[in-house]
Amino acid sequence: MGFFDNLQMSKKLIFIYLLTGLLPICIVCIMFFSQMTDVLQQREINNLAVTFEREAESLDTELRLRTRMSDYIAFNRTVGIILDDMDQNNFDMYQRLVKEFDPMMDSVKYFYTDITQVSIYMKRDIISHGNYLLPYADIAEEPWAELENDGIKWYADQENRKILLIRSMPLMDEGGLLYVSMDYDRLLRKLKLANVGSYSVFIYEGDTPIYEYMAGTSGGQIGFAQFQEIKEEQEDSFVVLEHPLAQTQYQWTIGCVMSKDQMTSPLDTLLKQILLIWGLCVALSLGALLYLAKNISVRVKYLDNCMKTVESGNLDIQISDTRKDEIGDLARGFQHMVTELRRLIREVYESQIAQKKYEMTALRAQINPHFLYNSLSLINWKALEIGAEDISKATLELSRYYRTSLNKGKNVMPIREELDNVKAYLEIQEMFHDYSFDVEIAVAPDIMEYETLNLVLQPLAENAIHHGIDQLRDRKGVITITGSKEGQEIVLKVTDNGNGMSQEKAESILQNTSPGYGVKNVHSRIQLQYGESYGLIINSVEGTGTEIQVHFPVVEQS
Amino acid sequence: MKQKRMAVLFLVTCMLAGCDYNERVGIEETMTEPVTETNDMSAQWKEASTTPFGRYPQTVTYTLAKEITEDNSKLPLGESYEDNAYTRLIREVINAQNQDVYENSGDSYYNGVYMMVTSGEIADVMVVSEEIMYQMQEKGMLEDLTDAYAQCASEKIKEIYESYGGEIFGNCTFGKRIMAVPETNISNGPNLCWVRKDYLDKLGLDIPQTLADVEAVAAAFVEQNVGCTETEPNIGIACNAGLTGSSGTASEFTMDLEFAAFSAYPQMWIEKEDGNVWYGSIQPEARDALLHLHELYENGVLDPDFLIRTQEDIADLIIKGRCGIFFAPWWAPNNPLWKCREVDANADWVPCLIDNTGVNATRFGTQKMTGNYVVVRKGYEHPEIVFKIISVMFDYMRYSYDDPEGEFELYYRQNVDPTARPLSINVDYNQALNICYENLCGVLNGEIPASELELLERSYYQVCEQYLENPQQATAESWSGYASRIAACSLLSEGNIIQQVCLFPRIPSDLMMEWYALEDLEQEVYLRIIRGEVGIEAFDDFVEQWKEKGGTQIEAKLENVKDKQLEE
Repeated sequence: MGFFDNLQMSKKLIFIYLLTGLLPICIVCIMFFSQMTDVLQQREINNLAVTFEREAESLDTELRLRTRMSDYIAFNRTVGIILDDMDQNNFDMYQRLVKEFDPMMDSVKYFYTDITQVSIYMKRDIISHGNYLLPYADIAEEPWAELENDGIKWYADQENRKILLIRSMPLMDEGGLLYVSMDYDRLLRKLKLANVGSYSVFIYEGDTPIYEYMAGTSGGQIGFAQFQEIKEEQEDSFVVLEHPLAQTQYQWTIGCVMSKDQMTSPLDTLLKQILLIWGLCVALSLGALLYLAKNISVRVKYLDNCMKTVESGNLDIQISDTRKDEIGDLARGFQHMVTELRRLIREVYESQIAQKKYEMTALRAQINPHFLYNSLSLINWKALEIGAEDISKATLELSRYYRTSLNKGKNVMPIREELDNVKAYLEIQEMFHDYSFDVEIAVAPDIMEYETLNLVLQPLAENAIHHGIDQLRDRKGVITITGSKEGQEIVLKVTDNGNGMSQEKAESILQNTSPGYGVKNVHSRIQLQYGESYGLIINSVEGTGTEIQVHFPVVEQS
Repeated sequence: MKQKRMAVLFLVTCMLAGCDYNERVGIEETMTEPVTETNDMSAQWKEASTTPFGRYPQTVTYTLAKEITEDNSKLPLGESYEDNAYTRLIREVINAQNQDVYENSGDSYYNGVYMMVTSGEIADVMVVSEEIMYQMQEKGMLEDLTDAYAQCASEKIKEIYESYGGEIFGNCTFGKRIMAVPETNISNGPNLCWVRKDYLDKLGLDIPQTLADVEAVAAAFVEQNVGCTETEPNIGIACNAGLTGSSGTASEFTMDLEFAAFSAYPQMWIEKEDGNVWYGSIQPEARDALLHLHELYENGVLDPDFLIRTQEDIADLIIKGRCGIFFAPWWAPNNPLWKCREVDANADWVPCLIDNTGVNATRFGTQKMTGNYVVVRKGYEHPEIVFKIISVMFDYMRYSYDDPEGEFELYYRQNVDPTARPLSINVDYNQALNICYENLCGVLNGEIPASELELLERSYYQVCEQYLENPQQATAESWSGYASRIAACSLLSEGNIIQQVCLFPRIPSDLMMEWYALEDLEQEVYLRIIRGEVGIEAFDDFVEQWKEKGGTQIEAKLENVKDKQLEE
């Protein structure tokens, strides 16, 4: 959960959209489509099966009707009698032939319009009577002429486009055949199974196709050879149905094949529609999302950046947001606040600092240096007159001290002059202390002309004397002042070998207002002037001494 | 918010898609074309229904019971009874198309049509025998065609019908309304004797001139078994069990000439001098003729198995060469002789006009001027269609159509059977045979230019030309064209022919049952006598029975009817 909470706004939005919008749509679409496919396929398979069975039954029935009709003739006593009397060749037989036999045979063609010929082929030697009675010898060579007793055979003569029904005539003494030929195309009319898609229907005897009907668009139609392959390999993507035709003693089979893809082809359009709608939805919502993202997230981020900028100390920003929503209000409020802040800072803080600065300048200006220098010069001259050289020295040093301190009111000076300042101070202090401590100064000559703040070293030296040297009982005090350039920094060090202090105390000096006001003041001023990365570092070891480092950047004198 | 929107959108899509799917599934069901009637269209329909050659704006499909012949009426390969030169021309000119709901040949066809009439399920248009036409009229199944004839039979068709003297519509007019279209039966003249000259030559015989010659030749054929094997011997004179053309049309394998030799006209009605009608089958002359025929049968001159054989069987025998002599009209070459010649190029059939009077003349009974009838189912929307079709087939096609691809000329040349026509009838002038013969001779003699011939004559002219170029090598078709149109017709036009006018009255319907019984009786007696199953005395018994069992009644009624008909 924490991970989610910490995501960017825009990512949150996207995530929420995905979760509540896109994902459900996709799931529903996929589910719907796959369900539909299954349902449709199943339904089509059922339909196909039902229609196929119906067609197969219907065909079987047609065949059965014709078989029954052939039964009627085959088992008809009248026919039997007539045929037996065939060689009588008298008027009675003629009459029976013409009045009974012929009409019966005629009626067969009348009732079944696909029947093209009905004939009885008699093995007995007879005289032909039209097409109805013919000698067996005429067809003895035909492939279908051999029949077992009481047998019925269906035969497909594809060359002549005829379907033949051959059966034996049990009532004929010497045997014979009843031959019924039916027009191939009329009997096996288009077997229409399904309303949509391509499918193929076959009637076959073993491996020989008798009838083929392929419905649907060309290209991808399934031929008989392919049908057999599909049957053998039981390919899953096809539906194969078979129905052996009982009337043909199960010699003939009617089969059909349809590819499953075909069944769901009406779905294709639907699928395209769904895809289109889905695409539209996604596009729309993405668009909306992007708009929203831009509107909210970007603006919020912008606001956030502005705040960061202000946080870093830069109050000079201008937030523009003219929109009237909450974020706009926020932005404008923030802008207002920043402007006020700037004003306040400027007015109060900065002006106060300026005021102080002016006060300081005024104060310093008040101290009329010329008078001071002249007075000191007088004292010096008078001292020299009486030969008091140490008074002269002290006076000179003092003069030097104040000259470098006041520094014509300027805050910055070359290091050389700051060094002069602290030297002067220390000279005087040495005189005070009867030269009970030593001063060592080792400052690199190449930094002399670089800029420094005034009154940096002197307070440190004063501190070193008061808290270090003055407290010494067992050894001679030494104050060391060093200075060098380290990279782009000037590092000045004031070291004493006093009693030192604890490191915590050392660090605490810089933190709060302690009696060691001078040191902190120096630190603060350096930081104010040059930035927080500069200032003082105090290192102290109890019993050994204290070192105060001053860090400030290399700045050339302007 | 968005989710709701999505959900609604989704649902709406589903519903839309669902509707579409259902509709598409139902698309396969056939949709009948809506008939849009515009002003222009209805004017076209009107014109089509009231003129012979006006074209229907939309194809009018009529159901048809169709008589066919074996081997597809000799149509070229790929053509059918619903798609051949005739049907295509009809479709082109008047936009009518036949849809055959029943097809059969010969007697079976008529039996089938009879069953259709009995069951009441008839086609829009049918060609039926006269008898069946009467039955349909009784049952009120016929559509009135009077106006259709007046408006939609072309001038020439009307002319053709009038060449028969106007009585041609006699039998199909009821209460002054024409209820069926009669087929015209052109004067075919007497039967000729067709004999194989190659058989004659084998036996050294002359071409027969008289009936006695014919009988002698036949006897010789049988005795010497010329052209045949022992197991399949020569049958002598081919004979049809009907004996004579009872329907009044010229038939093959009949014994008319034999009967006419004795002045007997069985199955025909003759008007006596006193104005009464007598029935040929019961006259004493018929008795003598039967005796003679019996003798022929006994002597094996007539085919001993003639009872069993159908027309097709006889044709088969002729083709196989088992028959070398028979009686038939001039058109015998068309069916079956050309086939015989195709199978055996040596079969040299020649026609002979036979003297059966003893005075160098041929006597025969005239035929009926009508054949079958075309009937239209009562209630059919386009009864005029039959006359339009007739106008196209027998006027336009013959006299106006220039047959650009020679389809019909091919049909005539190849003797395509008239049953190829959707309406398998013939409509032509009474003297059509003569007209054609004289025109053909005119062209062959150079008197008339060939371009003046109409389609049928033109086709035959080409065929005859072909034959005359090289008779030995001629095809069977060209031989049959020449043999029928020139050889046979020349005999008919130059011979001495005596006509006995016969009547073909309609038997009154209330006596139909008696009439059928009488017909059966007659047939039985005749055939038994010929076969020798009964003696000639049976004939006398037959005459008495005939009169008793309704014959006299019928005779009486017919005289009344005839008078009435004359008055109309």
